[in-house]
Amino acid sequence: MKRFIYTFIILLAGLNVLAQTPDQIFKAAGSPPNPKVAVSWNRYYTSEGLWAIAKKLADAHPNLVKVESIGKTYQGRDMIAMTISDFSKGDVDRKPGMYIDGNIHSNEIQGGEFAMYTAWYLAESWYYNDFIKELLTDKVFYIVPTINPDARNDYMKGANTANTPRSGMMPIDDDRDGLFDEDGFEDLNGDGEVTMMRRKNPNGRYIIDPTDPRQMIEVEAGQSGEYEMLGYEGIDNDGDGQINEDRVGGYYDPNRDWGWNWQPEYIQRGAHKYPFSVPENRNVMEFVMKHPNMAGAQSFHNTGGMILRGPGAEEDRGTYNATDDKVYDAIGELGESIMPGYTYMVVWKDLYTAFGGELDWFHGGRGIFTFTNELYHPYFMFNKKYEGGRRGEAVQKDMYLFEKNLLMTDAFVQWEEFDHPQLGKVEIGGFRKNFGRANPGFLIENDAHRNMAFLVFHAYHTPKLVIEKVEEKDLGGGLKQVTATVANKRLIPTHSSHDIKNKITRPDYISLEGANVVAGMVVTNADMNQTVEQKNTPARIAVENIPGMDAVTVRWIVSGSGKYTVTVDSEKGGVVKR
Amino acid sequence: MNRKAGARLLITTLMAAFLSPAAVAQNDYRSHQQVTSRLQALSQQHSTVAKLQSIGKTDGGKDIWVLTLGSGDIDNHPALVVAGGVDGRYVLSTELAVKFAEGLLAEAQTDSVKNLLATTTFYVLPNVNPEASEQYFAALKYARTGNGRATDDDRDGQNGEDGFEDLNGDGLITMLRVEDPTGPWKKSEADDRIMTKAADGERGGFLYFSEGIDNDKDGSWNEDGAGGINFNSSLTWDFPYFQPGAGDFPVADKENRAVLDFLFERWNVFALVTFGPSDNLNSPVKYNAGEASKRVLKGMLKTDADANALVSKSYTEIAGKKDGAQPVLQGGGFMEWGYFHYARHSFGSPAWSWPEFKMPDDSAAKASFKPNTDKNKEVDFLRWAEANNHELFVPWTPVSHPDFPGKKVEVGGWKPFAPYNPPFGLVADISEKHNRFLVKLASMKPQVKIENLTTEAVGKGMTRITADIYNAGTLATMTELAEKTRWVRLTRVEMKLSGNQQIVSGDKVKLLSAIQGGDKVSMSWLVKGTGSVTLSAGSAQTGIDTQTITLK
Repeated sequence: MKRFIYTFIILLAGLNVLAQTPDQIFKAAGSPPNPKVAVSWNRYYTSEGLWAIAKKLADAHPNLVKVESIGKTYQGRDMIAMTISDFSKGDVDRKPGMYIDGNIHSNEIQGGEFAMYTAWYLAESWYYNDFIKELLTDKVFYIVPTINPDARNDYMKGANTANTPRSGMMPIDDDRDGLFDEDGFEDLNGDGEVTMMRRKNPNGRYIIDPTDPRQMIEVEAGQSGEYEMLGYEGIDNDGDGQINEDRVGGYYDPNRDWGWNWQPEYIQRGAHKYPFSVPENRNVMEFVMKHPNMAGAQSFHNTGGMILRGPGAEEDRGTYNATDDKVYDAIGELGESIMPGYTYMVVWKDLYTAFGGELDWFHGGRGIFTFTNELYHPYFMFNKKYEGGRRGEAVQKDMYLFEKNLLMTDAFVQWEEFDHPQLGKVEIGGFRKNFGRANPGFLIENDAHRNMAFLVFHAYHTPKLVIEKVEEKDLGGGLKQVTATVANKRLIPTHSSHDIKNKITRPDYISLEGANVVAGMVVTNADMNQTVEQKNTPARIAVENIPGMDAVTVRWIVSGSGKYTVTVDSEKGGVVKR
Repeated sequence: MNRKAGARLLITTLMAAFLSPAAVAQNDYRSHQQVTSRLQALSQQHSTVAKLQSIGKTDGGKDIWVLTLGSGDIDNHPALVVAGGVDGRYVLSTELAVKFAEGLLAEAQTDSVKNLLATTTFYVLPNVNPEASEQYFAALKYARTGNGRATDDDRDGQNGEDGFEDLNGDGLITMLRVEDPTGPWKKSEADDRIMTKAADGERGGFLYFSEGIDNDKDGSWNEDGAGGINFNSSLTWDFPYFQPGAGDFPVADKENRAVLDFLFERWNVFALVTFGPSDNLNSPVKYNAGEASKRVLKGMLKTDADANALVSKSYTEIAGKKDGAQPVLQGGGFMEWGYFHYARHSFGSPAWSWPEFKMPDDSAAKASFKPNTDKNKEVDFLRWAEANNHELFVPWTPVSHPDFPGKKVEVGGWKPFAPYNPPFGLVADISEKHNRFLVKLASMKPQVKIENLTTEAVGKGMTRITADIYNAGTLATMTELAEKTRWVRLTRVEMKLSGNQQIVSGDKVKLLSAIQGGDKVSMSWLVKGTGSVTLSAGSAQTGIDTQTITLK
């Protein structure tokens, strides 16, 4: 009997994994035809939901996906990271690495699914796609789908709007009265949403839009209105005359908490105590410090269709220079071409000033080429560009049309009367929190795929080192000259120029083993025979950088004969031998 | 035993009881172990007003101690932080912090100290980086700032591969001078033991650097020794990125985090005093509109610079005026963090500087000194030391050095900690002055009081209440900078009602921004009902005053 039950469970599990039999499927181009782990990409998952997918991927692809905890969140959850590479080929942690995370702002949820889609796509495509096979032979992907898991769940399950919480769950005294999180939103009408409050008032400045009774519009100067807007659903809990001014998950910004050009709260709103004083970020920092092979990084935010790079503040312009900019531009411009609706931008210049952002620490503190994508854009509603930006009037109007005609009015709470204990008779209604910033269900996979393709291009261009030539020349008197040329066949150098300037990453070592090395030198000009000798440890030549789409040449003078090996050992470029 | 002998024994016992254990003749600075024992003894002897806690341990297992002094609702009394050990070379700083606690607790039974401790809290952090200062007590002494973490100070990919070597075996890391025609250093004309940089157009003839060999053959000597992160260059204000001792990013190590986490939870702190290299007490930071208006703040705001000047004046009146003193601020420093990023009043002083040498009046005695024409301060300090029989300098002696075969190499120079700390005999006087200053600063604390409380009946069961929310202290209820940050609380005025009492006019809760010392905010309420209400005003860092008011 026991064995029977056991077999039955295995059968059930098998059925669950294999949703279709292969003969029932015709492959669509560019997608895994019959994935071992079936995932619906038209809904969102809680933190535990994402991690359950991660676990399934690791179980289904043991040679490609490993799962680990990188530390505890504020509320004590284990933060899950996936390492994705071909574990049967080489030392994974010495391959050039690409780091990916999402959801640092807890309400910007789709980063979690986009990061997870990347993991799923890489693992499920490996079996039939040679490009992915080679990619996972050469590279390693470190994916942390949500780096703000506590508040991701709060966003989904708690009383929130589309914009809250942006922080984690540490209590903060937002109104400086000595009390913590004492006046948050209330879901007054019990519909599971925090929407807007309006009240009839002959002196109000709003009227109901005659073309769509759900929408409120501001009247022109000189016109009378019929309603006043009273903000989000809630009451004044602490009797200070303000509503919802000290929320749970109150304001600190995890993306102002990183150890590059960090500034305190009075300069940079949202900064916490000091860099990495947000525990989830500290876990990420420690994970990054443990993996100096990371050469590229991508973080996912929402919203507005942006491919962002640093610097975050004008004061930090010197951190990026022309050599590094060329690399960023090449990747960013490719991004614009494969992600219609997205614009490649520099944070401080094209968006706003942000000190202590994650991408600045990756670039400035660790020398890692990093992008942040702001996912989803109103453009996706009708493939239409809008004047006046994504918060403009035209977008607002189209949101109602889109919601009605494509979402079948699923994203709006109809206005209804409510007896407010402090404000009297009000009406409550408005868009649900899952609309406006998060991709609507049918638009998740398309956007996720394009963003995955963008970061795969980025990862592909992390360094690929090749020992191109090893030449010998007899110098007479038992001495031999050995010259090795090491090329980097990709865009990204082993050291950004900011890295070289500040010696963030150790030099690349090119060693000659098995020979009696008398002298060693870097060849600065092979044609003119110009060299710089390295007096100390000549068998192991240190080069400051192996530039992208370029090469370096080193030379040893050896005595005697015999076989020898040339080894290139680069933190961000990996290890190659010949 | 005869009566006389008995009396003598009694007196001796009394003397011993009175003097011990503090007065067991102390003739040198105290090690971490000695400080620990002393703090434990103090907190046991004075358990009602002194509480000792460890806020973290170093990699080497040393506790970072906080001794909290105060009585009553200590979390809501304005608090002064006294910090030592931010820079491990300044062992005096730890001694001053411990001696402050000792001095105050020795008088804990007097009315003045009892009252002080009942209204003010002191957080004494004698040594925030004990791994560094412990080098003073080690077999091999050298002035150290780094903690116990292995760091790559020269950023060559290897940790700690080129430290000092004690070439002359005296247990002290001093300096080397090497005769070398290309060297930029020369012997001072006033005293050939002191080395000085050759001026432009002048030939030097010496290389001059710390004692040791170039272990990693990179052309630099002792540039990457044991440890570590320097607490005082690792904090967030103007962080010196990629500099030795700073760490990979600000607040990278456990000592910093322990101290900052502790302080961020102490809402009552109104001021910090740090003993170490940073200085705004001997000479205050001057207000500079340009620096103070930068987005990334580099200068003090006007009101806060005024407060700095006022406190500095008190300091120099007590500790003595230092001619030519200039404010010293350094990137990543603790005193600097205390103001710029913690938004409290933050003061600092090395507490001691090189005494001036007075030329003897006698012309024959005077003639034995060569003229010190370029006013070399080291020459002057050495003359002072020798005139006062302090052995602070190791005479130059030749050694053979593997990096300089065939060259004349000598070891010598200042003993490792001598430039930063006075000979111990001077400490008692320095401590006494600084204790007085700290008590004086405590007396300047912000204090919110409810004054001129009046009630009047306005009929129909309504009472009008008026009151002045008054800052009875010298310093403002918060710095001007603190007005912009939520890490300092606003003054909260609250009218607490009960039963069917009702506020007809006025604020139930009102949050007030900075009130300057001696200033007030007048408020009034119209309350309907009977019985009594409670009015409270203040914040943790001003103290909270509460008054019960009977309605008319």
